[in-house]
Amino acid sequence: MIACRYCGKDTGTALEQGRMAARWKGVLIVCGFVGMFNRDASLNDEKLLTTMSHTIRHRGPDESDYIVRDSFCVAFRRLSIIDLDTGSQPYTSPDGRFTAVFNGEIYNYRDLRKPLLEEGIEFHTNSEIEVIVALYRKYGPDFIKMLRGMFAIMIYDGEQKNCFVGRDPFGIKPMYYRETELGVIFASEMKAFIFDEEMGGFTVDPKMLQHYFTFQYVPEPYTISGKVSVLEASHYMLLSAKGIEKIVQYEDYRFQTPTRESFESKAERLRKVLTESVEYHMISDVEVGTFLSSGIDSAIITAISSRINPGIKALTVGFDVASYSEIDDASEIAKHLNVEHIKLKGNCEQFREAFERVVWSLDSPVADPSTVAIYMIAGEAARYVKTILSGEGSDELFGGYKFYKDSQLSGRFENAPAIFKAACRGISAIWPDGVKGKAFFHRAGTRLEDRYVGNAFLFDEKEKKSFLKTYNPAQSYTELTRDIFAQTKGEHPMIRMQYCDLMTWLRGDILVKGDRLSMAHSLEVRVPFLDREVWKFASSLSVDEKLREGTTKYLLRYAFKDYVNPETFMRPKLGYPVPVRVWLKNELYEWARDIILHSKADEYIDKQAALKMLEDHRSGKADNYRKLWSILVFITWYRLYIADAEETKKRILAGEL
Amino acid sequence: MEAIYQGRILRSDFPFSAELLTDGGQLYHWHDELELVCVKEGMVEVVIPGREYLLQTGQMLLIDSGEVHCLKNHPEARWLSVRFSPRMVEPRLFEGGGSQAVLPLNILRCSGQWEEPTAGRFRRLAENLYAEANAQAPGWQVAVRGLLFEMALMIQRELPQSGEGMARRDNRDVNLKKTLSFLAENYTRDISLKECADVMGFNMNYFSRFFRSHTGIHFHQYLTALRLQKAQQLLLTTGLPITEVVIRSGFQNAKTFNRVFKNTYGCSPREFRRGGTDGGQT
Repeated sequence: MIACRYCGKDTGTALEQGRMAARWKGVLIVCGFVGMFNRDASLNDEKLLTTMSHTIRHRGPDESDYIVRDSFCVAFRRLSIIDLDTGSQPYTSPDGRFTAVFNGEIYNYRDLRKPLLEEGIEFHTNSEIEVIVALYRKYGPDFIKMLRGMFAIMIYDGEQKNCFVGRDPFGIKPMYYRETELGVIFASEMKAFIFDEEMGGFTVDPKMLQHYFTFQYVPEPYTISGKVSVLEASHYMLLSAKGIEKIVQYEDYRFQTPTRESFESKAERLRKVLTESVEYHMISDVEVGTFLSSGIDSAIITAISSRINPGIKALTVGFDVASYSEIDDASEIAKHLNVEHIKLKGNCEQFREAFERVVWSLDSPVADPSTVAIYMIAGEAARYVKTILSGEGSDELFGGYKFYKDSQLSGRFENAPAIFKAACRGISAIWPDGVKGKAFFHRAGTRLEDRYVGNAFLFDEKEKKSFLKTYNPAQSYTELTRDIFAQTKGEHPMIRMQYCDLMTWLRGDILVKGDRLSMAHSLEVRVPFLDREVWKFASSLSVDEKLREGTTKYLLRYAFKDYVNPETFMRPKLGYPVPVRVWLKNELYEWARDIILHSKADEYIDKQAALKMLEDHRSGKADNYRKLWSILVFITWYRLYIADAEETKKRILAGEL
Repeated sequence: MEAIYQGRILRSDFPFSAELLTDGGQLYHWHDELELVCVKEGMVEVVIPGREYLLQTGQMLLIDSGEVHCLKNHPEARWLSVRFSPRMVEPRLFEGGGSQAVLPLNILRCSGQWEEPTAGRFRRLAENLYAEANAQAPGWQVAVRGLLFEMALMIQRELPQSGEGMARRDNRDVNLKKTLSFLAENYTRDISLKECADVMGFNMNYFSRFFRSHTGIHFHQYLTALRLQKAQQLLLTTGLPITEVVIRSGFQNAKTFNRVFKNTYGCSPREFRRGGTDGGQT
């Protein structure tokens, strides 16, 4: 049984609650919205909001709505609604004071509703949105800390004439905005701003472009354009008719001092806390599936969810290139767990066809080849289920990246005297290329904050200079992570790396691709690892519990070793492997060459340098596939969002994009 | 078959209509005639399963013969709807007809993707067709045929083509029509998803997904919409007591009817009848 966090009473298991909620809600509501809070009502622009809303129609293709209250207006997309009794959105409180919309899921809304009911607060529907408004009325903006789930929320207060906009703590659900002299415009996806004529079209901020070629995405709260911003994860914003009054960070995900608890006891607690999270994440849906790769995270999620719902479907994508398919390993897991397994075998042709749409879907460019695989498997999943459980967040919380191992070796020298570090750098500089040890000396000789900027590191400064025409040597690639590292000064290097990844990589790459590429198919992805309670547990683990005997996510693997087959227990991470490295030498060579040759982004990318990179990759002189990928993504992004924006708009209105 | 899913039945000797419309009705339907939607004011969303078009003022869209579609409009929107059978342009300018696609498969059907001179000429043809149909001056039918020939030729020769091509019809479209026909003939009685799935020979879960993915809405939503449309018509055009309207439109009881009606139109059936207008969705 689960005790309510606020009143302490038993509320039944999450599963029981889920079954009840399924009967109550009857349907899943996922949506996106675009909104405007203007200086005065005469500035409300229904036409703009309608076209912006059409741009994100995939987030809720069933119904659209438009509402206006004073100078606040919202166009809203719904995925589905059956029962009109369930309190459809936008929701206005019975006294007419508040109007609210939200996108996402609040998994504990029934826990939160109960004490309010006991206080005598009346509810007219069984929806999450009514609970959100009741909590906001009672607690003000801080109510957001009570929510367990993924969300982007807008609440307009007609009495105070102000507006609250908030986003979930991990950044699972998106929220973009642009402040102008006339007001603030919001949208669930950045692409909606393509119709914002007052903005005058997207542009490239060279500073952000340079960061993109470091990180392979543009970290929050920035976008590549610079004209549109992201409301950061764990933040809310308060607005008045004058504009943005303040932006508040309501939660800071800091690692805690490890608790004194035995390893066994921690493993037991982890099983409990993660099982409960999966139960919560399965609330209210009958058609639920899981993304199953060959790794431990998705196997654990599939194992737990199949114990709750044995009818669950597991989906895997693989490609027809040797060693680039997880299908066989995933089949073993599915067989072991006795779940229905749906396999999608992709090929190069399908990959090529999906590319443009993937780039379009991602808003700011994200140069991660796995995006195309995720897009394809999400499309397949949408044919079978409405909701998918996925293992995102496990690597960041439990220490799953192999880079973290470096912290144990080179980390020993982290606090070494400057002279020692200088000596290491010197050795590294003269150490021959390609001979083992060079990288070690480099790491040992360089401070963590100067060498680690998160999971991906695409181009170093010298490489950027060779093809990026707007390269600015005065701009440091560490400037966005410097403040993040400053907050963990003195902590173990692995904790510092994890914190950096949570603040940058997770929300800028992992969750962006998870949300946009599933929503492109009107599919909702839920991420049970990224849950308040799971985080609370994970944040108090010691480095040794996460990384032991050269094994990443050690405690997680250990805790669930009996849930999955033994081979999975120790299998290394693959992470949607896509054979782009191989294809760029063969099948995709001409295609890539063509994209570079016809690039309209000459102002930024030196074609000849990019072509040389491709030739070097083809001939085997260098392994440039990730670098090339980032260039191909940017060139295509530039065409869709800037060079051919007028054509793009026509394609959106004609239903093509 | 009721007109609800075939649209208005046109005269068989002169299958043509050109009307200025203000309410799309939001129900999926089809007809054997081709349809040209030309927006005069506001914005109109046209949904053809799998694809949504947002037409702005001045834009046009061609809908093929037999193609399931629905129109959602903004409250202030007005648009011309020109419908004509392929038979109106014989000797045949189009292949197909009846259950087959008539429009060339790869043309771009939305004028937003045409060059402005082409769109301008096409728009003028639509307006002239409307003017002729409205005035019905001597010889108007000859004039209409002439304009339709010109339009058909433009479709064949001048409209740009896309590499992507239009969605091709397949069996699913046939199944969808069968389903919609069954619903239109049976919505006044208590029918379930299971019964409909059985009639179609589908597994219930598959059928539910099929319906949703091809119409964009759920089975029960569609059924309710059909019933509401019938109720609306009975309220406005007959003096039948509300209890009779409830039964004839297929609702199971007055309580459900009142609740659903109010949620949809923002007023009670009685107020709606008194107002004599469709309050629109709030």
